[in-house]
Amino acid sequence: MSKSHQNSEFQFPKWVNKLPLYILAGLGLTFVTVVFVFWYWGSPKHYEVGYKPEQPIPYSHRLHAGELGIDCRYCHNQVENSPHANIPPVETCLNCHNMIKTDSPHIAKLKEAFATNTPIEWVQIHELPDYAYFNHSAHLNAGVSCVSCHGRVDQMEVVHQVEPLSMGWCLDCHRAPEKHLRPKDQVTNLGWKSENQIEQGLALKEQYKIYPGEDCNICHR
Amino acid sequence: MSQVEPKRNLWRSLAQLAGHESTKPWVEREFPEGASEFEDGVSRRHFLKIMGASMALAGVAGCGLRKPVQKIRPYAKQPEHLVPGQSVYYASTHVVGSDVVGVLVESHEGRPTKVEGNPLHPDSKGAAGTFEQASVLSLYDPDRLQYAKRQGEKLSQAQVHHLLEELRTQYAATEGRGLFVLSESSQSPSFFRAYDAFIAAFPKAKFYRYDALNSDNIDEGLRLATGKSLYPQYEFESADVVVAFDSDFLGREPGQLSSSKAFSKRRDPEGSLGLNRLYVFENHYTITGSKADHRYPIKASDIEGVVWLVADAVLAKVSSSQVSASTRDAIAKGAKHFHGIIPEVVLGAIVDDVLKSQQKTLFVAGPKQPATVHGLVFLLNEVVGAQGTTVRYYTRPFSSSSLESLSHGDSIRELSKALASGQVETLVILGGNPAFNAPADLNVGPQIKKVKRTIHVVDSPNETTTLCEVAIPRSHYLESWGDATSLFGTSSLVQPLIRPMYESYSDFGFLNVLSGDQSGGDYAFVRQTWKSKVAGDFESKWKKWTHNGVIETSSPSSVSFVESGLDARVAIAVAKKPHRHEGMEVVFHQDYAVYDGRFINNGWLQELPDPITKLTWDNAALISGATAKKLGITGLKGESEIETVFVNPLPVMSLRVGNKNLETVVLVTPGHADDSISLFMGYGQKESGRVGRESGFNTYYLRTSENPWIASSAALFKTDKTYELASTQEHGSMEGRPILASATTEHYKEYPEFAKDMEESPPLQSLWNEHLYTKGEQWGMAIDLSRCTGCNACVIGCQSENNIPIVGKKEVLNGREMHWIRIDRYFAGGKGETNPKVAHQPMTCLHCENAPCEQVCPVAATTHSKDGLNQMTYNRCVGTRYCANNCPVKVRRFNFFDYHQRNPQAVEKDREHLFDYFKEPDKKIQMQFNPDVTVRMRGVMEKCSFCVQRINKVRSQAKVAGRTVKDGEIQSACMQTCASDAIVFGDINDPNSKVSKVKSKNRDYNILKGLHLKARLSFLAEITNPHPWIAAAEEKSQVEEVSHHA
Repeated sequence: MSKSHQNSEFQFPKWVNKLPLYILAGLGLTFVTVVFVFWYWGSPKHYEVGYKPEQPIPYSHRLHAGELGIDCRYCHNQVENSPHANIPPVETCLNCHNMIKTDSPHIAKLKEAFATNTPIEWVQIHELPDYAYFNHSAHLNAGVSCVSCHGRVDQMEVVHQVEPLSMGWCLDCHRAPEKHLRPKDQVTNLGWKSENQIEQGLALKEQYKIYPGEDCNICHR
Repeated sequence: MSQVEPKRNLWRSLAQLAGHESTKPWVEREFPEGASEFEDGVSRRHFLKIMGASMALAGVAGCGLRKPVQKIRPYAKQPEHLVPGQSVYYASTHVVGSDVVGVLVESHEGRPTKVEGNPLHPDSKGAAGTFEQASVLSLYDPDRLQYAKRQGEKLSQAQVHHLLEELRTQYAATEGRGLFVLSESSQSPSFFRAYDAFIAAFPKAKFYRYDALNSDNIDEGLRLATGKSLYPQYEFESADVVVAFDSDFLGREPGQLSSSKAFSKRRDPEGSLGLNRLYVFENHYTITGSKADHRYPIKASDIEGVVWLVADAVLAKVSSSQVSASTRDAIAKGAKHFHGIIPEVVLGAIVDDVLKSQQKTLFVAGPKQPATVHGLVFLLNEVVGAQGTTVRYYTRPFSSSSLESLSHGDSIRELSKALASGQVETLVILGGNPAFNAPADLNVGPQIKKVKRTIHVVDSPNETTTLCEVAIPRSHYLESWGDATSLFGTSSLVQPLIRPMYESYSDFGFLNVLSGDQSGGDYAFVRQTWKSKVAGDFESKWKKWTHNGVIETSSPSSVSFVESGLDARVAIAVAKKPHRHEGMEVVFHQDYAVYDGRFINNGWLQELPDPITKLTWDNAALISGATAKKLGITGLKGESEIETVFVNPLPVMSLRVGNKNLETVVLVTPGHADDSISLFMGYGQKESGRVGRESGFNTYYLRTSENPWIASSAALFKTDKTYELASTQEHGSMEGRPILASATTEHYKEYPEFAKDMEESPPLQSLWNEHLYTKGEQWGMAIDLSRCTGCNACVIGCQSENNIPIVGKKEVLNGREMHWIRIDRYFAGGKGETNPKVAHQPMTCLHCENAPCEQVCPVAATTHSKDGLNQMTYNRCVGTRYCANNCPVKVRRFNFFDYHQRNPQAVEKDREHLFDYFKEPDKKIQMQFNPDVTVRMRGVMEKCSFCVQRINKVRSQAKVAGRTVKDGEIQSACMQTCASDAIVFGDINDPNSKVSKVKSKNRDYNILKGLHLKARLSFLAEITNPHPWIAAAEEKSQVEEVSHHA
């Protein structure tokens, strides 16, 4: 008895038999959690979308592009000719603000920047990695609207990122451009909606000869 | 089959020919064993440890961390016509020595990034050489002099102004007595105007000019023959026969780009003009020699003898009223001294060719040959009637200026005398490096140090700067206004693209400040120079000139004349009894990479393999195998039995010329003349920037004012030292597979398809369903080996377009150079051949349709695009290097390190996030980068992309404009810069495109077709045009040799 008692003292309890299973299950759960965390929080959808930095001048797109109805291309005037959609020089702002709202402290900043010829340091919102090359002019001239990537900027008081700008997201459209194509004269009309997007998109695809490639070197070079 | 295949034994180096085991690793594997290990004591394990730790840290810190915040800084006032994101081109002019090349410079938002040829410039016609293209890197060189200094202490701009004002008032009082100026030679009309004003302001001041590489001999020879100051322009397009005496007209002489362009038109067997024939006599292999149909290695001092012999032989057959019987006798007498230095059959063949082609013959001599040679060459060209057909003479621009009255040699000699006599009170040196490159016997360096006040206006501090009291930054040509007139009369504008990076002066700007010019800056001064030369509406003309780059005043015209006094002059010249120089000679050559030493701190040029020796980062004394044997030098321990072969480490020998000894590494090269040592100038600078320091040997040390080019009675002595040279000649070896096709015209006529039949292959079939690339644009390229001279311009063009880093000498020794395009240089000939032929083959990614690299990539980082490009996606690459292993032509380059970080000019990176504890290129160097191409990191593979950024750019432009891409609109960087038009790129799916037409030629062939690569890059076989007599004689001697051995 004493011997067996002694034995039982040094014996593992029964539940230990299941320990490997628990460990395995625990590891599996950890693995799934980690994957989920990275898949969700690590993806541009989570940490890029909604990025809304404070700008040196609280310029309101809602007011200018929305309420006042200024066309995107009044300020971003090279967007149809260049890979870059240029941020306007101070000169462009002063075209109007030389007269309008001149007492605002922000307009004073603009005037000072113009007088001293120093650039205003805007914070970049939509940012692609250095190894990805996006061409604004190619997309605009193919009938892809600003809104497809930038959202309803005309309704934003402070501009923020609405799309993940990830590679998978790019490819969604490159594989099915009809989802986003619209007549070329409507590309800067952010509120425009087609009654039958897919049908019209397919027709425009034919008309504009849109064959967006999926080759790597279209964007990476 | 055997009768189809021309007999050729191709090899890369003497060691390979001898079958030395040092070459085997290069054949068997791309990188030597251990190349993937880290140096500097960091082991793989240690690296993993560090990486593991930082990964863990990154895991912790990575949550919630967005990309670093980037700022956009738009212009406050945007310049007119500037579109952010689109590059703009400006016309400018690059001058090196007396070679003036019109260039177009690409600017990205105000940063010049790439230099290309200006198609509107009549001399270069859109081509650019290595120096032009690499010049943009020198602009951003962080080792440039950035502020004025006095004895090492910084001078403010006000202090510099004060100093110059003081000088001006001091010497205005004494009319400039004691004021001496030394400049480099200039081709700028504005410079000469400033010079005139300077001399007017200080009549007693002395002004000298000196270039280590000059054309004194040509000038003197032509003056000897004609009494005029002339420079010859050769019309290779109309020359059926060219005989070159020590002239590297395709590589190193003024006008080499236009020469290459014209010459290449005559190397195209299908061209309307037909093939020319080139005879070359030279002491070491040059790229001109490599294009010769008949090339003879002759001691440089004996080449004069060859000219005498040729002159004698030609005059015996061609009658001319310009040469009297007595002169003819004198030449015959002179020629007697040299009988036997070239085979009779060669002389016979030359005379035969001259008689056949008459005025379409051209004789050319290089600047190293003495004046008598140039006199005789002028005579030969006159006798055959070449003037006006194959050669034109232009009055040298500025030859009327008093600055040009002395030759370079006399000029520096006089200055040295003045220095020695103590007359020099103030010495102003504009550019250059006289303490380093002036003739060694003149002791210019130590004398400069003794002068009371010395001012050096210099781009980058050098030996001379350290001896001077004051150093003042000098403007780069891309940051200051100027102008230039070429030797052939074309004037063009030097237009800046960027505001001066430092408070610097141009040469004439500095003179203007000294002489108190009030015109208000370089721009106004240049405009004033030209305003006085044209009538009518200046503004519109000026606008046109700045746009086109070329100044259209009166079109430049050559001088045409009948030389009446030629006979008498030649009689004087030939009266000097010629004689042969026995014993060992030393020849000083211009280096293909660093010119006279001024490009020593330019990494692109330093790492550029020499066209023939394939040396990088160093110079070496070249000798022939027979000479090495005679001297008892054996490169390999215990292997003196086999032919003298050199592999690293190479012997350092002591070279004695006169009473001076120089220790230099010696390299045996095939095709070198016996008893002759070739030295290359410009290396071995102790005071250059971080890139050029510690490279090569200073051969100027042996160069004297008496014998600036060829010195006799030299001797080599053994030392115990050895030295490693980084040569790329074994890299990317192809194990003797039939890669290179070449044939004579005769063979080509008989077997037009010889190149295609060179390799036998079974019926070819792919293992899987092949993609059909039949729709849309399909990009392809063809390289014409007949036209290619191996000049390396494409290598630099590619490097500047594609952000390719330099790796340094140590890494080149490891076989890790990153050039996307390499030029394979092959020697052809059997063992013991002392004069092998040379062929060049530019090799880059073949863009195979069945690419072996794509089949082994585990992560699909290299794939095929619809338009037939083999694409490389850097951000996918994990660096397995399987692709490079499987590439049959070894054109893939792996970033073993982040080479931009390892550049000696790299700086600590600004820390933007956790990983930024690395280095990065200097901020200034970063400005050169092409923003359209990714800068690659360590651990990724890269290779030629057919300049896909250019394809995409043109394609999207065409798309925006609603049209299709035109043929020839897309130019790869290599094609664009090629002076010989050897590279053609375009859509092979369009039967009317140029590339399709070129590829349909008989001599078009694919390499390694047995592998069923279906390569998009094909080659056109080289066709040579030997004289039948010589070819027959050579064949006979070969047969004799074989039977003798039997």
